[in-house]
Amino acid sequence: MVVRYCRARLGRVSGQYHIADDVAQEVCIAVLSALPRYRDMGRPFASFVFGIASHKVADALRSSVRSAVPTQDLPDGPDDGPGPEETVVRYIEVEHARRLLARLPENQRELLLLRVVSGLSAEETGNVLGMSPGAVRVAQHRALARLRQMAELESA
Amino acid sequence: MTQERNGAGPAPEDESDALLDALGRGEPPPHDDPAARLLAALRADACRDSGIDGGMGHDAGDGTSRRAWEDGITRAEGGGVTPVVSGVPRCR
Repeated sequence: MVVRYCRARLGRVSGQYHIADDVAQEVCIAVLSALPRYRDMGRPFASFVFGIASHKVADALRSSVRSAVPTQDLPDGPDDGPGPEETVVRYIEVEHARRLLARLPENQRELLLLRVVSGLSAEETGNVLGMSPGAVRVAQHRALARLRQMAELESA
Repeated sequence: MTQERNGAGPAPEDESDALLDALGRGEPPPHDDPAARLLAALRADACRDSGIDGGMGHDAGDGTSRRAWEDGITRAEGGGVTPVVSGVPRCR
């Protein structure tokens, strides 16, 4: 869930998720480091984890430098992944999603990512964002309606 | 938490909630909902190339992986032994 969240927030750089995966790793280390100080306050553990993840992603966004990412040796062997056409179609669809999400207010964007990409419940999402479950349900409905409207306008 | 509205079906907020729950489990989006399709594509992409169980339509829709994670936390809090999923360190 943390990896998915970081990937959705940070996206690909040079076609890869290296930076997002590194941030996810940092989140895991930070969670482990903070565990001795963790006290159960009746909130889901996920809200503790995603609170840390949210800060780490914000740090990464602030310090992000879009530069070349060193990779291992060039791949030399059969590629059993999707073909070029399917890859491009997926890429276009994902970039379209990112572009539309970027036009939503930050809290609505964060809410949808936590709900869909991280798979948190409305209650857990509310705990992460400091909202009541009822407020989450109203806000997510508005966010979804707005996203739907933007998607339909673009396809018209 | 579905609220029926005098026989008019679930409230729109509840429909959105159910849709987001389904997308969050990796279930395929409705074909006639462009926003749901985009969100599902984003989720599937975030799961791709990582060995993460959770691609579109292939997620543990029964919440298996999530339960395993939460069970692990429960065991850890209880002082039991928590198995750690191993992985190959990435070399760059």
